[in-house]
Amino acid sequence: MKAKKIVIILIVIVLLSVTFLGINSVNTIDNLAYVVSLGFDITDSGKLELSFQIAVPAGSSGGSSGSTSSQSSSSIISSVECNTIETGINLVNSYLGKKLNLSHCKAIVFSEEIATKGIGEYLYTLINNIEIRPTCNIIISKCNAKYFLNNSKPLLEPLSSKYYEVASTSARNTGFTSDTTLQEFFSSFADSFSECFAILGGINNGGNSNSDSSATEGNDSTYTASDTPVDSQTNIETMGIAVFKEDKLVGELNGLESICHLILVNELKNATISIPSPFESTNYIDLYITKSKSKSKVYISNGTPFIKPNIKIEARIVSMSDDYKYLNKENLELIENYANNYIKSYINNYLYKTSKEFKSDVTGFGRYAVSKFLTWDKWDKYNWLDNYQNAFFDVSVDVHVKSRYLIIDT
Amino acid sequence: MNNDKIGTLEAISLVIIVIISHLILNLPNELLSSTLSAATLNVIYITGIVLLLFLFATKLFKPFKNKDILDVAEYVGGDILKKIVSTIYSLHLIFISGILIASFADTIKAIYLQNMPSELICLLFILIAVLANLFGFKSVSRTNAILMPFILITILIIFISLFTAFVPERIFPILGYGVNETFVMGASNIFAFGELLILFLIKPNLSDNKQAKKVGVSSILLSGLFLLLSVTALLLLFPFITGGEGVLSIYMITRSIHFGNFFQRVDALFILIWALTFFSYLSVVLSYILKIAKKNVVSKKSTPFIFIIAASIFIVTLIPQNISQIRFAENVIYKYSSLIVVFGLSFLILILGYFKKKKSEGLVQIDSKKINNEVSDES
Repeated sequence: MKAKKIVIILIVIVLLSVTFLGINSVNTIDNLAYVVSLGFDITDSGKLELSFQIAVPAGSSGGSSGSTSSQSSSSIISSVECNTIETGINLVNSYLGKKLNLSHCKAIVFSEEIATKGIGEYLYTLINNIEIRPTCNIIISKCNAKYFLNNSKPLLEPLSSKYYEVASTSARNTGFTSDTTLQEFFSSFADSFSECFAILGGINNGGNSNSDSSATEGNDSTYTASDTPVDSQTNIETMGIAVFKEDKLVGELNGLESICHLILVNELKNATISIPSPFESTNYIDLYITKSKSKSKVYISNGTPFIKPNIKIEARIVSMSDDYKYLNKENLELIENYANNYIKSYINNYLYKTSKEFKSDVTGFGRYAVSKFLTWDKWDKYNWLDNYQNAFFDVSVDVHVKSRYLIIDT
Repeated sequence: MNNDKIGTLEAISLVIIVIISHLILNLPNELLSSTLSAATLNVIYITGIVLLLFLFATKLFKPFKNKDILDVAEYVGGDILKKIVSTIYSLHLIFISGILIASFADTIKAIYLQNMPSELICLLFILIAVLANLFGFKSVSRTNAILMPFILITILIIFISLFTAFVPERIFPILGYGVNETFVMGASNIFAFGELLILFLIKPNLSDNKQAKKVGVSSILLSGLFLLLSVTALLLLFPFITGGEGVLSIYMITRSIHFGNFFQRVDALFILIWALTFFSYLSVVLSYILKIAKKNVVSKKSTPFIFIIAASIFIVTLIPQNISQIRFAENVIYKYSSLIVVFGLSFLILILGYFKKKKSEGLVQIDSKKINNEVSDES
């Protein structure tokens, strides 16, 4: 019994020793540099250029004037030309004298150029990196990724990481883009039901945009990132969705098309859309979408997909005019009919654009089609992702407009 | 001997821990790789098969009250068969637990302790199991029973917290690779319940022997349920897992869990609970290898065996040189070893034992009839 006690005490001592052995090798905050966002560019020579936006701890004088660094608010940007992500990280580690840590990385930015060539090889590395969170956002920048990171100056947030966290969720209020995470992006890339899509980003030069080229019919929702006519200081903006076919960027959706996309994938929280007024052709009525629900049915007839999305939307009128009787039942029905036709036509445009122009099922109708197949063998042979370009659509939209939120009658 | 008696709940916890610990690592991923989208159907199917097999085993055990599989082996083939069977069981459990600990140590190393040798992590686990066993089987089973609700709750939390992110349509095509692969070849996935070997050894430990059936049925159903939840969560969340690309599958799920912007990165909590799970798992397995060894050499002392068995497990943890060897051991060696040892050898012994017993009872009845007839003739 005495020997047993001695053995137990010895084991406890060994256990404690083993536990504390690892302490010397633990990385503390002094040894680490936290990356807030990661940018991917391709150089003229075809090499990968990695850019790191690194948070500067409070009290540090960040933004050294080194050849590869520049200052941006509470963070510095370091970039490096390299062959692979890991070697790039090592080179920057050596330059900074600290170990780059990606566990607080909030956004991964790919330039349009690199995305067009294909980003599959980087995706596998990123998803397998234990430090990078699967909830980190994927942004496709219309400009150089390094330039994009350099211009990400938090206007209303003190911390860069917080800024990215909040900025990506603005999609919940506007519906102008999708809050795409690395996990969602990789899932769509790897599965056989759908194609991937990402947040479309760009630099707004403070009202110097070429807005005329992107806005159609005077609609305020038909801009893409970097084209919005916002007059403010130069900063990054996210608007629209970048559409992929496999791992290659094939096109982009504007703000209104993004709303259509979110309606069809049941991800729209709230959005404001303007529809032409049924009472006066030059005016618009603003509808605030409070609820939307989409159910889709997919039929395969003679090998051709026939897709029937059924959409129900609840909206309320937020714009006012002096002579429209919004509380009038007939007027409300008129507005509803107008809204139905308007939204239906935009959803049709969105669907045929993704199907015929992009040949990319970003909506993920494949997940409804797969139920028609019993085994993977048959599903693989059918090759949904290639057959989507032959799809036909029959959209039905039912908008229910409420006007009871009006404070005074008009 | 009374110190080894445990209640029904403790017994159920003992059986569940040995199955759940596989579930945390590569088991759901392996099931998904072999059956794809039919994995949920397959899990329900194999749970049914294992339940039927257990009920069959209960029937075969009926003539052997308070006896475990080693006693039946002794009855069938004498001391030699008992020694052979107990050696096979010991080697099976030592190998499986060693590989599982090596796998978990590799996971911990990849996630948190990059600079710590995985051998040292394995040693830490094994020393804790040794320490627990020095305190006796009862303390191991009670600690395990305390931990069990937390372990099961973590799996439930994983399932519930990501419920809204599930895409139900990913369950299609419902038959995966096809009927043959799901129901015929897929039947071999009963290896997922390979650690039910403990059920064949637990009978002498039960304070109420009549509860053996209840313990078996409850532990199989609960293990099946949690296996179903894990496989379903993976299938509905990560379609790419079906391509065999997810290595740390359940850990990947926990990385996706967040409660608003406030509660994020809760995976560290899960790793803590899972580390406790593996401490408990190794303690339970070590206890049972000890019991087998004691029966093998007919010894009442267990302390000398603890260190030998622990050293053997540690040696097994050193065998795999890389993650692909660990995966091979987990997916191939464990699968066939479980099918042969647990579902092959054990059932063969039980069937032979059952018929031998029935035959001997039949002979006894014939002898007694003969004696009765002779007595009546004489009178």
